[in-house]
Amino acid sequence: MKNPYEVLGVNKDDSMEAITAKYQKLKTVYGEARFSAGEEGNRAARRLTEIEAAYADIRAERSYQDSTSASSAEASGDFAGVEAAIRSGDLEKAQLLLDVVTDRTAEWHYLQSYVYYRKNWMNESKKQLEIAVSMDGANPKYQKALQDLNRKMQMDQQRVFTSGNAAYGGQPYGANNGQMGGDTLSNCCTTYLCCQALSCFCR
Amino acid sequence: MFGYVKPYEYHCFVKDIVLYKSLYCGLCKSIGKGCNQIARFSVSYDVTFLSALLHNTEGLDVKVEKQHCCTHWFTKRPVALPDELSVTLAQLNVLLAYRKLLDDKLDENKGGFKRSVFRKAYKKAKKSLPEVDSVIKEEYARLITMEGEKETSVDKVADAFGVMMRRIVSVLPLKNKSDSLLDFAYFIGKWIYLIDALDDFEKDGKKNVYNVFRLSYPNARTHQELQMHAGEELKTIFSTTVFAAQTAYNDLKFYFNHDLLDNIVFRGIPRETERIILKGENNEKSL
Repeated sequence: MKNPYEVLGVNKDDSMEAITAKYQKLKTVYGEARFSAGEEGNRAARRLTEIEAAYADIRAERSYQDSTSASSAEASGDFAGVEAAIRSGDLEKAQLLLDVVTDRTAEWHYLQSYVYYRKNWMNESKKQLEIAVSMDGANPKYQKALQDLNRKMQMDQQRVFTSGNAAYGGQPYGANNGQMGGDTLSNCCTTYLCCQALSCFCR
Repeated sequence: MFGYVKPYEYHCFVKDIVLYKSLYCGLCKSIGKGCNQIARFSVSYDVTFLSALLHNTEGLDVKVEKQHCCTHWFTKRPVALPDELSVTLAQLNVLLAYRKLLDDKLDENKGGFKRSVFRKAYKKAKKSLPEVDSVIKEEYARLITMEGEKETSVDKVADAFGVMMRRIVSVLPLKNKSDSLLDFAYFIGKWIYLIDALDDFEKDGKKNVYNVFRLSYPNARTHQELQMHAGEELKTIFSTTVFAAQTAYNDLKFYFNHDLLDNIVFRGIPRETERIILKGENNEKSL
């Protein structure tokens, strides 16, 4: 399955500026192509949705990654360990370190939000970010993270409820592998269709 | 179990409807073989889906034959013949059904007769799958503790059910247990817990039984009020879980055609989610 970086045709270690530039370019190309007639237009529209969704995912993830790696050099003793644990993927350790902190500042709620984001607890992640923003609204890091998360959640909603084939690179209907159950199922289907045809004739 | 994981028939190929029904009937027969005949009443759509999924990811084809059964005496119906995997899943079905009955006793003090009827089947299933039974017991205990503490976080409380499904799949005797399969099991488990809680929103309120949505949205008493106050937020909660499940699903390796599974994951589950979120406004019923 393609990951969001593959969808945009960028590398994981590319800068956010480079990724944004690529996203804008693809958006322009497919934004125009979606007005083409027939299947070409449909394909372009689906591709545009994939591109928007991939970019929303990358932004949400990068919002946290870039800010924690940038601040790690000057992070206080309380949070340096948390950030290191999150970066190494040890979310349990990160949570334990957060739980022992008694002074729960906006930064604490921001890091708690990141832990929840990595666990895919999106609703809790959003709540923690909202608390961080309410405690320190002037900090652009928290605002940006909340905006990016909201955007990702809206894209998820769009992908799940309006598409019959969510995520990027979903394998298409009617893939060529053999059908489970084999010939008996074909016979059942034939019988079903014959019965339908017979009932039409009898009417 | 809960019965929410099912296909969306209007968008299903006929071949897949027949396969689904064969697997459902096959699971019923497997429960009879693996436990006892009485326990066949507990057959569920959710474990039927698991049967379709795991047969495909394990590369185990099913043999379908037309047979009679105790509820269909006159016409033979296609049945996926019981095999080792379906008997294991049948026993899992009974373990989950029995645990649900124990949960009903704690919540509403009901189900005593059903439990006594299922007890023998449960003991047989427990003997065959002791690890699975302990996983279910431990995670249900964690869930009950959180419910007792009136946990209001939707993610935290549903996590217990998700972790239970992940652990169950990890201890089943399967050859192919990829991280994607375990992640998929986790998100499906989380979704099942939440959709059941949302479906029982009004009923749990009347019986004063724990419901995470009642605690998260205390101002709403009916489904319509909940939809008015928090319709968009509910869609967001469910869509992030479903999307994560679909993302994990897309990474699975299948040995056979998976149109049925695609229908359930990409159409059936979202449709069921919308139906229950809009319950009270939308009178359309699933066939």
